[in-house]
Amino acid sequence: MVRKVWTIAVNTFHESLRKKILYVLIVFTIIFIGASKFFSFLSREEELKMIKDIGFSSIEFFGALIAIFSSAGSISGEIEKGTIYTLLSKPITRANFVIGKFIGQILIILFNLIIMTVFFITLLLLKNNPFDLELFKTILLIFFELVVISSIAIAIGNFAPNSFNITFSFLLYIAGHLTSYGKQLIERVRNPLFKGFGTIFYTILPNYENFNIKDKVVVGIPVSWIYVGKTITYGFIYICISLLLAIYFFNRKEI
Amino acid sequence: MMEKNWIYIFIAILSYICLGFLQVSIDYQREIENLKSPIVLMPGEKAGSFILSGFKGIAVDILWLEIEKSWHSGQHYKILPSLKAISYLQPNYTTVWEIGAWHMAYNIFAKEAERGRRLERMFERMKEKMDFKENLGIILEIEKGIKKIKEKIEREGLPERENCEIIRKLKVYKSIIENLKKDTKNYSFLRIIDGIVESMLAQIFWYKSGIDFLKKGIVYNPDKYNLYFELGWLYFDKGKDYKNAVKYLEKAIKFPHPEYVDDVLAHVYEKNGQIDKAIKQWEKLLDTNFREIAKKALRSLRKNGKFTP
Repeated sequence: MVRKVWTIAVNTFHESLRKKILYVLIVFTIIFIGASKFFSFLSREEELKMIKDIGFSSIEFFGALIAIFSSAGSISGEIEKGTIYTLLSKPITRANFVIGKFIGQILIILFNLIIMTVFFITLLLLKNNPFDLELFKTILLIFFELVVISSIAIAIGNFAPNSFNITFSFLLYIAGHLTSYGKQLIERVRNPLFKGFGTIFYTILPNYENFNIKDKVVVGIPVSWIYVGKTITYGFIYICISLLLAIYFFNRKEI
Repeated sequence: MMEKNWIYIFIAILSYICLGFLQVSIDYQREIENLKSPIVLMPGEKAGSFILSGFKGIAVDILWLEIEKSWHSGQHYKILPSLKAISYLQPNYTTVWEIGAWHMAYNIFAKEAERGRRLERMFERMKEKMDFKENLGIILEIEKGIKKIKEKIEREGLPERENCEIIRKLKVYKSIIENLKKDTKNYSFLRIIDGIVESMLAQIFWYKSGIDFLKKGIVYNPDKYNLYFELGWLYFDKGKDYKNAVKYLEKAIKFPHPEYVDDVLAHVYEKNGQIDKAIKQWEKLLDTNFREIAKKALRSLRKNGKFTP
């Protein structure tokens, strides 16, 4: 079973590598991260902060775009092209297929993240700022955020058209960063019904702000491994939920 | 197949419940690790759109670049809203509190002081040329009063409290000038003296604003030396309020700090009349880069009880 899943994952990875949009987004990220070098007129501390701010934000934002564009069409693309019929005629379950597609997306996210991070680290090293553990934690959480985004896009892709999936996933990405503000608003609501609905909504929506420690790390606030561990667990559970839903909807599909 | 399929939904719902509990735990962790982001109402339009998608850092950088631009073009007052906005967006970015307070208590303060000096020169020139028939005595009394206040500030430092004697006097002068403006022919002359009073009140205001800004910054960053140091320095340098300077510099040295903080504290102890503590502080500096100056200070303090000019 593992071999079958891995074969699908590797195929998905190779297939995604052929998409031009991937390279366009990587180039954009590198341009953005590189652009932060133009702020050399600032003091060293301010310049480093800007490089880190722009670097992390670019990695996260363009990484999210890559995850959305790449994952949204991964299953629907197979259906449109008709290759799904050949695949499913082989001795693989539908769950294996979904998981394989998802692992393929993880590989592509990891591939992009490594390219972007290497460029980012190089820029920091040029400014005599070593890549420390706090920066690693930030990148690690960004990676898990991107994987969550990807898993949600895969789940939605099983019951919605591609254009809707891309738009919805992107809006969810923005909303997911606002949920913590939403929580603060819910705390101020007195009506128990609204409060209840608000809390349920807060739990259901992915809280991408959990993964956002970049604003604190750049100003020197340390983040504990306990927090990182909890957030990774959160991401892992969310990924499981998304995949379960993806498998559920894919099983219901009449192919 | 369909019956089995419901298991996925069932497990997903169960996982959601776990997720709810985990989120509560994460929220708590964010609270205790100071990772929580407060709701912010932005004064700037540009920044707002970035906050929506969680890019506060970029918003701060844009505002910072605007500050740089305004700074170099001498638009000191234009910087203030951006500084305050940054302090809302990234309250743990201590540089903004430091630079903000310094900007208020030094840059804008100096600008106001320069305006005051310019007006004083104009006042002197006009006094010689003009033939006063009306209210000359009162105006000259006010001028004398202002000079005395300036001397007092030079001797004792700037006041921090709103209801102190200096501010009360300046406000009385201002109301007298306002009344004189109504029935005098020497309107332009009165405007100058009014400007001098205003500039003095503004200097006190910006000194106080710098202090308040740093105190606010300390609320968000209670475990970093730099804001305590800046506040202690401000009290020492501008306010000549050595008691408060000692209070905040002693707090600063409780956290990891550079050697110059200890150096300043030694001077402040002396100014505050705590010679024994000043000696102990200098002794601590004997093993640092401040060795030579510490030796001189110790010799002078032990011999004359005085070192800091």
